[in-house]
Amino acid sequence: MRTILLLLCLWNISICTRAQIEKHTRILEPSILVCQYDCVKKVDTLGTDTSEDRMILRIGKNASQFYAYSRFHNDSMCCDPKGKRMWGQMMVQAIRSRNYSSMPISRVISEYFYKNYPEGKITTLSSLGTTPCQIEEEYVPQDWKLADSTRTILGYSCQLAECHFRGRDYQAWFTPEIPLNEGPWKFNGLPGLIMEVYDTKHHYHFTLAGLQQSGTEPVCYYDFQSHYEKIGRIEYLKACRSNKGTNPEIRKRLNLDNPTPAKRNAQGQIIANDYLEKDYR
Amino acid sequence: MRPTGMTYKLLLVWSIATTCFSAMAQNNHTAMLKGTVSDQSNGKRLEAVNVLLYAGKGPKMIKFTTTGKEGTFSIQIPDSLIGKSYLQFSYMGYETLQRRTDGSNEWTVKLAAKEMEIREIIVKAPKVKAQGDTLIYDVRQFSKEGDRSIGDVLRRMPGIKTAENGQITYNGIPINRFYIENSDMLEGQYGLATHNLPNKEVGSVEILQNHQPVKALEGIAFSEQAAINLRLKEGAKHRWIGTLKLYAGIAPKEGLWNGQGAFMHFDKKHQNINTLKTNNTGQDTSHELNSFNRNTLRYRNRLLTEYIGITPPYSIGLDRERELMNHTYQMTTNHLFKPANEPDIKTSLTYQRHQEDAMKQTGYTYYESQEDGWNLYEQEESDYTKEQLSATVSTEINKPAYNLTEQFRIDMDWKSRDMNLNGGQANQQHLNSNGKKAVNDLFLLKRKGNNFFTVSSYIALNALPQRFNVQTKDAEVSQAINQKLLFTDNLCGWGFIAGRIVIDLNAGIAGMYKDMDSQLNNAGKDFDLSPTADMTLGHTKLSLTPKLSYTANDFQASLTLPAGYSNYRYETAGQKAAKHHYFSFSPSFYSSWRPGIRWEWFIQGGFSTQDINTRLFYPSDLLTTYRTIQRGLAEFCHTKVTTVNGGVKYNIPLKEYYSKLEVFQSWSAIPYTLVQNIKDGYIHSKYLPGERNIRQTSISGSISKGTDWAKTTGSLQAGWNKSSSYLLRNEKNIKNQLTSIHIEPEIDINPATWMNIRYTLTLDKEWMKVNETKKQESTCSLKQSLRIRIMPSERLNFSIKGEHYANQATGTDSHNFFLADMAFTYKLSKYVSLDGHIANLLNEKTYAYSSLSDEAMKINKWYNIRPRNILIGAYITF
Repeated sequence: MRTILLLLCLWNISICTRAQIEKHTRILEPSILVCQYDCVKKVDTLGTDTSEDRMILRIGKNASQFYAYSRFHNDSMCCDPKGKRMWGQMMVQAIRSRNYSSMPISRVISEYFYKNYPEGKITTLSSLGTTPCQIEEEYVPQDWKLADSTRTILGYSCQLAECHFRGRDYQAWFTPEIPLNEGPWKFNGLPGLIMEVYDTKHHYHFTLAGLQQSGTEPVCYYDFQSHYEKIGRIEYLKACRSNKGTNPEIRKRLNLDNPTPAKRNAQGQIIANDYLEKDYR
Repeated sequence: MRPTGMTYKLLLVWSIATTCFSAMAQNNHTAMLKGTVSDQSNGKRLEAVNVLLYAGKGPKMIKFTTTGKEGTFSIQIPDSLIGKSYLQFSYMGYETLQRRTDGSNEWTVKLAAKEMEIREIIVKAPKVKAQGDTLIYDVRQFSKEGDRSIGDVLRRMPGIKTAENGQITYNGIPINRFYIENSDMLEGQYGLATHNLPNKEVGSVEILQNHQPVKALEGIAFSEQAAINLRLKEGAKHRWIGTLKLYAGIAPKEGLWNGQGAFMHFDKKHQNINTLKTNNTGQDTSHELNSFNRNTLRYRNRLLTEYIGITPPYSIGLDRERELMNHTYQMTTNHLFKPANEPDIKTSLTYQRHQEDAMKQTGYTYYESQEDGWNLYEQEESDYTKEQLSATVSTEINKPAYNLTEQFRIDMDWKSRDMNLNGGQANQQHLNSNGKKAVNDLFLLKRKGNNFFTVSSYIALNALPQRFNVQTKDAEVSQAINQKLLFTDNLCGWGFIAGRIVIDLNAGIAGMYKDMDSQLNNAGKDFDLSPTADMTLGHTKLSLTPKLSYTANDFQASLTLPAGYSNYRYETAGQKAAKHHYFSFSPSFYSSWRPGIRWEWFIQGGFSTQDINTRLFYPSDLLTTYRTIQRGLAEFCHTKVTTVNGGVKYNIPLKEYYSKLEVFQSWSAIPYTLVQNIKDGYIHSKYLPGERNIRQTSISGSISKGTDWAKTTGSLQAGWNKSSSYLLRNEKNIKNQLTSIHIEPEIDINPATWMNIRYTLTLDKEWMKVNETKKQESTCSLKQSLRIRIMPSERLNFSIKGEHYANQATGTDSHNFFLADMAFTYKLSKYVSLDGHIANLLNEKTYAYSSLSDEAMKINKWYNIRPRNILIGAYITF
């Protein structure tokens, strides 16, 4: 019954917030293809605990966008007073029913990525603490090396390629049958769509879950915050680690400046994970 | 000649070298294939076409490239693969083309447009997932060594702020409910939980944002307020949990104790919290009993207040604990019963007996001009006792179709104070009061579809008799006041949303009936006094409040237009009743604008016509202290207040820089003027009709910056305030202008993970100018505080604190006070800690300060403070 209520809520919100979302949306170009990826992150790199999110990749002729569905859902609800209220109620409902997984918030990747927008750049929209921020970097392909292995994923024949990118070694399975040089997150430059990509330590794993060519939404620039603070990529990652961007009063109360005892798993090992990009260290 | 070993080796090296060379030479035989790719139909060059080289078995992809801006490509292939490999050209929306490598180096490729069909893989809309880090706080993560109750941990959670009186706000807005395991047992009296519920028994704190406590209003009425829900650990349910605190100590003239016990039990059908507390260490436990129930807060100024000041005042600047000489006993018991399919029933009973002794000296100066004034000095020894008993029964049905909440509360208090006064006007005083209050609070809501109907009704019956006797060596003066009040407020409201505009409409009817009689004997014979009163005052008000709000991306604005019709009836013994009608209109607005990520501007303002001040509305003279007689103002007149407030914030969060500046201005037109006459040891105050304008201006700002060096944070707060007022004293016009500044820098350094140093300086300075003369009266108080906290091990926690106060008034020397405290906690086990505390190490005996009042007055006070004392004890959780 709760699930039905929740779905009704979602449907209701999707109608009432559509008008509001449009105010925050700038259509860049029509989509050629829309892909959905499951993104799994190891919460404890020594253990087995993972968290999961559904990601959307919209590919246009020139640019593409990549984001977590849950993040978009959350943002779109909160840009409308009625949606915000519904969001609050869904949250309450989820908390009351202890069904925490139904809470409307993102889990693994909370950024919006725009490849080749503006031309030759990757734009990332994120937030540091309570500060919305924007990161711009060069749009260049990874230095892919083709490997011998081939396999079939979801009926598409795929070939393996490898690269080292910003502190991690990756293996990507791409299909030349879909001749788009695109993939999840910042991956690009292979002669076919990336169907699956993961780092060799399996801390992050993207797997294609869906493909849609017709009746798709265009590639859109979601401008949920009216203003963004511009910041360099490395500076952003360092700031994430040191919880910058959070009001000093909150920092003080959270004791963010004092080291807290490390969280440990059942085996007594320290629970730790790192970002996708590790070159900030 | 047979080849020697040496020759073999040379031959081997030569043969290896020639093999490698020939292999390299072979590898160097590559061909560079270049070409262009264009659209077959129009010849337009195509960019980003995939060019793949396939060869061998499978065949296998060997290399790839893509076409550049002009549709050109180049790919290098070994000669050996020419004729045995092919190039594949693929591009979205075009037919894939394969061409065998035939030795030609220049390629012209034309692709035919073709709708490329991709085998779609349709997936269902993903389930909304959560990370749960913003709204569910893991208590363990926020707990620090030394935390005892959940209140200690709540203070550290983002967005949550606990005020000094115990009120919790989330993002600046007070919370509307405080649940434990989804049940609101304490109904606003949540200080009992935050102070007594051990943090180690709480698993998580949930912030329910935009919480609508009335289920039937969910989806209709939007709530800006949040609620807090404490989720207990599984092991903390279905058993008795609690804490015991047993401290003993010594002070020069007495033994000290501080004993506290909290016992609680939570299960599905029943919850209870019981506390027993007693101390003589200066701890004021009564703030735990403060209720933050919405209606209790809303109507507290509409109920009766004391005319005769019984409650002893606190000192300014100094911690209450340093000067409170008390004996306090407190008992509370709260229960919640949740029978299946029946309404929830909640009961609460609290009792407190609080006794305090005070010893202080006060000097007053009532100015008549800058140079001339009436001086008074007094030495006071007082013994104040308060007993307080409250009982509440409430019931709630909270269903999606309707809500019924009914609460009945009785409060009784008995206060008495005996005072011996020495100085200019030696006397003995006895004051007592016996307040009684019964409140019924009903809320009923019925919903059908999207239509709903609400009735809220608040009825209070309040009685507050007070007695005051002053015995001087010549005479006995007495004052008796009896006040009774019936107050009711009934409201209903609607609201709807239209795009970016939200419209709220509230209608209400309120009523008040006050009966008051007073008798003053033997006081102020030189004044023309009205010693008796026997009056009634009735008031009804109809009100309608429309509110319009507009929200856009960077801009928010709201306009509130409350209109009301008031009807008053005043009757005093032997006189014809007086009536008064009044229409009021009090518009207000708020607007904020964020032109960029770093800037935020806001402005708000309003004009209001206030209801008649019923506290001042009486016909007689009342003795409010042994030397002040206050005459009421039995005239119908309304104060008009206009306020404008604006400000700007500039933050660079990534550089840890935060700053704000705010300006406030108010103009009050008070339709009466304060007139004071000082004669025969009495100050007789009364109000005469005649408009008096009071103007207040204040500017405040703050700036803070964090650095990576030793994780240091520095901040500076500053404020400037100016107010001007006017009164008549001994038939002289006294204009008085009060200016004050406040400066507060603070620095927090963490030189090591086991050490924290915090230094704060507070400087307050006031100037008073009477009748625009050049000479000014001023006071200055400086407070410095340095705290060093050291945590040498996980079990031991040690802190030392030093405070320096320097208080000065014009023409007097600065009073300097040095106070120091030391404290330690040693954790014996998971359940038991050993605590030690030495207060006032330097054994300061008194504390003195001066302050100025906007009634052209200067007050100098000297308080006796707690001497050096040691307290040691155990803290046990179970």
